[in-house]
Amino acid sequence: VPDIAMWGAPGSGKTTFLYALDIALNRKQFGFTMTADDDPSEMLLINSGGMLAGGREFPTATLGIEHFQWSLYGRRRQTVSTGGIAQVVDQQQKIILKLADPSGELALRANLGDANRKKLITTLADADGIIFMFDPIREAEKGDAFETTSGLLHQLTRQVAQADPDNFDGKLPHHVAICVTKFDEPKVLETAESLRLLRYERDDLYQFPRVDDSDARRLLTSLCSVSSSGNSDLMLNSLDQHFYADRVKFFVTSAVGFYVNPSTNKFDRDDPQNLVKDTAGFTRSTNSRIRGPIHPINIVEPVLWLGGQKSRR
Amino acid sequence: VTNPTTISAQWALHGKRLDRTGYRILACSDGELGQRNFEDAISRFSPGTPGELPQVSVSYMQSATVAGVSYLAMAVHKFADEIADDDGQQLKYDDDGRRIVITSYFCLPFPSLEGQAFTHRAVAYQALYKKLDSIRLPQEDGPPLTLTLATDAIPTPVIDDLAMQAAALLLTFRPVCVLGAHDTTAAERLAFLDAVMSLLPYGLRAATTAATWTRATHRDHRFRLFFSDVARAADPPDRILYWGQPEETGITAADDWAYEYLTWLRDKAGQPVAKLAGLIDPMRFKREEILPFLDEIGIVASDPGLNYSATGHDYLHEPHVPRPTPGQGQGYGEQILLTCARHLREDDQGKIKSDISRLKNMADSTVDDDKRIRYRRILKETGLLKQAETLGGDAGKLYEPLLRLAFTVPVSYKGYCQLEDCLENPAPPRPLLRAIDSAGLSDQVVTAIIYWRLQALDGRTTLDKWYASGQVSASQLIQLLAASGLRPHHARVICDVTLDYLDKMGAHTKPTEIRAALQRQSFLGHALQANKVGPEKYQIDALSQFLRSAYPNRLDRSAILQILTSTRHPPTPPLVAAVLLRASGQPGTRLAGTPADLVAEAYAYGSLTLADFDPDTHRRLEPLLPLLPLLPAENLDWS
Repeated sequence: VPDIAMWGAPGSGKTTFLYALDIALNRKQFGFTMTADDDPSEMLLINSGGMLAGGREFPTATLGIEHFQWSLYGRRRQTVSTGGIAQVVDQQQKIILKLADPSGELALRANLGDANRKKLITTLADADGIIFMFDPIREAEKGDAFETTSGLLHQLTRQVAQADPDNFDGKLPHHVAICVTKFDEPKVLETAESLRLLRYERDDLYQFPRVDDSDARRLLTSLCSVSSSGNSDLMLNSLDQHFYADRVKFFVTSAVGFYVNPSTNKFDRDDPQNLVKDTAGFTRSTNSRIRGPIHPINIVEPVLWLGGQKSRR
Repeated sequence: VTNPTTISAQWALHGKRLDRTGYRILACSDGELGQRNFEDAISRFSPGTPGELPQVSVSYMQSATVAGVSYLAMAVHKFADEIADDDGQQLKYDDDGRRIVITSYFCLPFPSLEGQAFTHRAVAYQALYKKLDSIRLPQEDGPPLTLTLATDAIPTPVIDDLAMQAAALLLTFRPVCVLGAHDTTAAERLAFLDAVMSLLPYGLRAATTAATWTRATHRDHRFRLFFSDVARAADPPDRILYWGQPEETGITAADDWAYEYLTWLRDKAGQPVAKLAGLIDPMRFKREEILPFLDEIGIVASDPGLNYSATGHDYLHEPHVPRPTPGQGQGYGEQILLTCARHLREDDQGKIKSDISRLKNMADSTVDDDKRIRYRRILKETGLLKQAETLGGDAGKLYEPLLRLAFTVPVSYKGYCQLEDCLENPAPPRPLLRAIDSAGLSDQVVTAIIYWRLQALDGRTTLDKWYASGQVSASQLIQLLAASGLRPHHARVICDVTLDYLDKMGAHTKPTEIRAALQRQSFLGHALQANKVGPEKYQIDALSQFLRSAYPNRLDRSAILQILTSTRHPPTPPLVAAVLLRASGQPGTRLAGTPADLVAEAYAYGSLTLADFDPDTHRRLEPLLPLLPLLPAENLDWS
């Protein structure tokens, strides 16, 4: 059973990503249904869907670390070898997601001594898969991706190395899904467009743009170049250095997706934003809100990819 | 009566600013506690990502610079956009447009709270909340606040069974979670926390962590007493209470002193509050600090002189359960047994009654085998079973729960042997025998033993009733006597009972039935020898009586052959002796001629043919055996 932990700076969308998972499974036929494995996880599953899809509210920032366990049930086509002959078969599959959703603050250097940060390191060290959230908007404004990544990577590496010094070869054993979040943000969409990375699937009713997984790294690299600190290329190098290349995959994601023009029932390039963000501050009467139905993009895929990897235990 | 007291409160304001640096201390007091202390405490005692606010949490903090000084901390959690009277100073939404949670955190020096104004009255969380909630903390660092608290602001806690259960469960040292209170306000929940804490020593507030709400997926939170929507996935699981449903609470005597404490609280019906409020010295939820308190109020008194780690007594021969290691201490049940033994030695009748009551409560719950073994060790080491006899007519009241705790009831033969081992005496006192009988007897061996011992003390009534009940027969008793694994003195009792039964009930039993039963057991010669029943003289006399019951007339040739050659075991010398005596017709009459020769030859024949020799030896002996007359076929058909 692969354990999956989340990692990302404050506001990078970790919780929203998870809250959108069940909606995403219901939007597109992935062949999986999701259920919770215990009472707290079930309550979260029920409330999260209701909050995003029904209330169109964003979750408040996570405090501490949230732990929950959801299971995906479905069938997948797999290649099996019988007597030396490879066959594609449709097999029943259950993916258990033991998820840890930490407060983004724990990734900040200012919280090095926080007791919960130590728990986060342990959670990451014990995990099989990591969903790493890269927030291009934060990087453009704050430029602390390297700072929030580097410190944790050092601590994580030390913990993993010390746990099994005889077998540690300098690389972390985890599978990592690096998610470039907030694809629905105009700046990210424009960057992808300028790089000619946008793709449209013929059978997509809404004609949402997507960035192919094989192009995701390129988009990330480009977004790193506009980092306010100029250090985000260091973040990418740091990840490359610490994880095996064949265990890392890039995804371009959006939890809320793009707005669907009600008159055409399609994506509208001139009015793409599904998230209305008023100016943050002191006196707004409402917080960020979601305009229309949620159409998550690339939310299920990283989870299925990580869930399909073998547990290290 | 207004009797205000003034205390200094250190504080911190926790929230966000518009710089994407996340939650942090926005401002704090410039007292002994610094920003780092506050950050650590707020993170450590976080109830998790909020659902509905406001909520309140209480915790504690130790002074980093002054040893022994501790603080009671109260945190008030609110959404910034719901704080109405902050003059627009507080940021409502973060850079991502998310609602900001503001935590107003206050640290009150614990000793001040026991000051003059609070003598004999516990500080109520509600009163503190009412006071602290009205304070708008500044956005800039500043001096500690001076607060005036008055006792007339302290509401009387409402004590109900759920509060008592929560208080008792806190003494299990496991977190206590209250579910199903979603329709209540934070203030109502705080009132419940107050009620619970009023049922515990006031000093425990120095180490209490409680919250009016926690998020179940924030599973590693550190609250001892808290409300939640669902039970978190904790290992071991939290103790669960259901709001308004005290009958759903699973608290039993297996919860040891927590259960006793609940009983005590219920018995006192609200009286404890004043007494407990007076116990103001800071305490922690640690065994070594709770047990003396419980002892002080008469619930548990440890007996250092009988402490396992101090006695150095040998184990009973029940090796599977390790003795508690030094420092590990005894469980509650062991403590009660040790205390009871001490009270018996001191002849403290009042406390013994209380001990008996506790033992009964313990016995009403499930007791596992490991505990039974430990309890038996204590019974042996303290001589409690023997001591209990000194209670005279009340001894049975103590024996009854002891039997249920340390042995399985109904009492089996195995249990009876364990009891004898604890007693270190094969003759249990009469009240104990009566208690065993009352507890129930699970097999006929122990029934025979108990009733036989009772007839020696009380007369035959019970024994005769048993005989007459039809629950036992001669055949069954003969079979019991031949059973392996009986202790010799028990086999002797069974033999006596069997003979007694044949004597009293012989007229109701056909000799042919007795004969068949004896034949199946090789006429008991081997059984009495194997079970070491009495000296040989006893065996000869007993076997003679058995033979007389089976063969009322003198033994004829056929009977002699049947007894000595047609069984499963070779004849024993006492059996041969009994046969000779029974074959002679009259005691002291010497056999001559054919019958004596037959007995001798049959003895030789039976000894050789029924012995457990190897087949080759049997083949070699066969032509050398004496020639015996064949038995009629019906005499061989007993197996």
